[in-house]
Amino acid sequence: MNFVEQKKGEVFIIGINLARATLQEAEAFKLLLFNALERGERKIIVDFSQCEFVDSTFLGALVVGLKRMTQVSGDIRIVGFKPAVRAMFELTRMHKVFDIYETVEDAIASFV
Amino acid sequence: MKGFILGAGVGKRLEPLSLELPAPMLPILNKPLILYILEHLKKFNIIEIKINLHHLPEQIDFFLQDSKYLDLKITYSLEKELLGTARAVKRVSSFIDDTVLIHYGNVLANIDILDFYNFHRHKKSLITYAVIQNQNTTDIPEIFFNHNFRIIKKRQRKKRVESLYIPAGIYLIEKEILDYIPINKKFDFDQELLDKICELQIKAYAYLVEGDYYKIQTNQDLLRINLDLISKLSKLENNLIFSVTSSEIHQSTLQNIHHPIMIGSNSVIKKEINFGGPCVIGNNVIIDEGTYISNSLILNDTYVGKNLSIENCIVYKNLCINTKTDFGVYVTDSFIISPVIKTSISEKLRKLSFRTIDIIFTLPALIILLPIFLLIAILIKVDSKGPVLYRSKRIRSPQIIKYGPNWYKYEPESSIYYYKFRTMYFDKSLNQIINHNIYKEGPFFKAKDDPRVTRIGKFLRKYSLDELPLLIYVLKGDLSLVGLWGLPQKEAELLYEKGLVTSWINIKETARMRFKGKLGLAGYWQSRGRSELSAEERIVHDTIQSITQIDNEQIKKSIGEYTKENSVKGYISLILDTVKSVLRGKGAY
Repeated sequence: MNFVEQKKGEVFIIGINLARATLQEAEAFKLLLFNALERGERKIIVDFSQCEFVDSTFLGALVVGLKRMTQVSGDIRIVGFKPAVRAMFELTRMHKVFDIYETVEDAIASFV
Repeated sequence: MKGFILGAGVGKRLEPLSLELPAPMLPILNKPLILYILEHLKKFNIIEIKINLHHLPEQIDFFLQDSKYLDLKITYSLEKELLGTARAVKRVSSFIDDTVLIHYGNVLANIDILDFYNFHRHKKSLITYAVIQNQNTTDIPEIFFNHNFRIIKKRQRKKRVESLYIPAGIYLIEKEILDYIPINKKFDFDQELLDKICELQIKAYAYLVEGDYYKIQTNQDLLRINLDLISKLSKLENNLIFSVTSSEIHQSTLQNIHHPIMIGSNSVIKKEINFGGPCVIGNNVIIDEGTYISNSLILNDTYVGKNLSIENCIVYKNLCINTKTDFGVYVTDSFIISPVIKTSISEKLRKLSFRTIDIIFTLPALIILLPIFLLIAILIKVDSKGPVLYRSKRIRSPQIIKYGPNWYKYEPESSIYYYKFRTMYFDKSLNQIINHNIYKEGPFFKAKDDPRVTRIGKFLRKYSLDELPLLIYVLKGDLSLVGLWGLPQKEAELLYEKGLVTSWINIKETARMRFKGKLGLAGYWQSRGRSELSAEERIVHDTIQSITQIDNEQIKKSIGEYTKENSVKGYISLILDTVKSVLRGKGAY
């Protein structure tokens, strides 16, 4: 299982169960986000705490997902960064694109 | 007890210096402010510390990775938007369990945290505000408290002083106080929360800070603190020159020093430098011959040219701020001031090997392609009227003119002209009928079934044959085989100014990062679908590629597996991936 899906109240949580999230899995991940959107999910958390590395294709998929989600007033929030992934978000200024939390608990609390 | 440092602020009043350095990284006697705060917290056994970041977060993050000797448990809260100091704490509710110390990232205070804590516990306070006496500053909140130190009133000071006490930017809080802080709304400890405390009579107390206290809010503050401290240190130790062995001071300069001077590591002070007042000079600085410096601060990695006169200034890389006039300019002439970039030998070797690969690939390729070029040229000539080649201007980085009330920055445009095979008709009237940009929104433009494209052009574009002449520019060294695809001027300027024109998400700053990279033919975007990708995906690919190219050891250390991409193996595999993608003709119209 590359992606672990979980529902907590209104919040849909996708755990990225990959040490390396790269172009091999990006298409499947994008589909997962689009399907969730079509099902009516609007509050999504993507948990990266298992990830050591995220590549540009995977991040691209995440941004496309966010764009679609914001068009229907939903949001994708992010949780759990290892240092290299956090560095990537900081350097690319993607921390100004995504709302990022350290724990799932704080991310859920942010959705009201 | 845990600690929380407010390190996210953009430091509006510290511009333009804060455009380059986040406030917690500002140096006090050549040591970043945040290090003093962390050391002070550690002295009182505060080991578990969270720092909120927003503006230039990587600088603090990378610096503290290098400062592991502190032996602290540091975590971060990255903030998408700045919504106030209290809300910053609220959004990490799960971190707050027992009493937590909150500390501004631009405050240096010799506060007895143990005494502060005992006071807070004794009063059974939900939040205790450290306060200082101040009667000079205006437009700040004043705090009023009763004989018991309980906070009873807040007033915004305009001109008249009614209470001497103002918040110091240091607080002790209990988890219960979070219940009074809303989410998704701007909320500051010193404004909205104080109002609420007074309105609802929440148990909040004021604690008077004794001892040294500094808050760095302006460039003048930064200069003054540094010069004050170096002068104090000089008196205390009865010494004028504070330098380390790794720095060099020329004998003729050394004999002529009559004011306290601090010099950081790996710095070179050349001959006949005249110090007219106290100065603090950072690490990796070069001060060239015959220059006069007085009451100034030269920050890390800065070259200061010959025969200059620098007084009451803060100089950082190519930025010079005159603290008397409070005006900062970015200097484009590298003989005056400029950044000192030290490239490691391994980095030089890497660059050399990339260049070698470029030549090894392109030279034979061009020889083999020569007959094909001739054939293409004939086909273009036969197919439609007009020249064989088309001259195109591509932008490395657009012209940048930025300014604020007290600063000005100008960077000239960097671009390249190159020739490609012509694939379009020379009939301008066709321009009007293209209305279907596949990106839907600007600034990128690409039309499918573009009516301007000739018959032979369509074929050439499908397999990118029209771009083969670019190999000549690779051989010349104007482009490299691996790099970012050059944007036409309009697209580049729009992308810089506006990001994606109609995008709902705030991707402008991400998009801008692409202009730090080199131009080239092969890359992430070029090899992974090109125009089949959305504009957002393109931006992410380009930005990340640009970042992997930045010549900075700290960045290279910090981006994990992407560091490997910047190797000979990664370089070649990107070239091959792009060739494969081009041959498949995917995403090319």
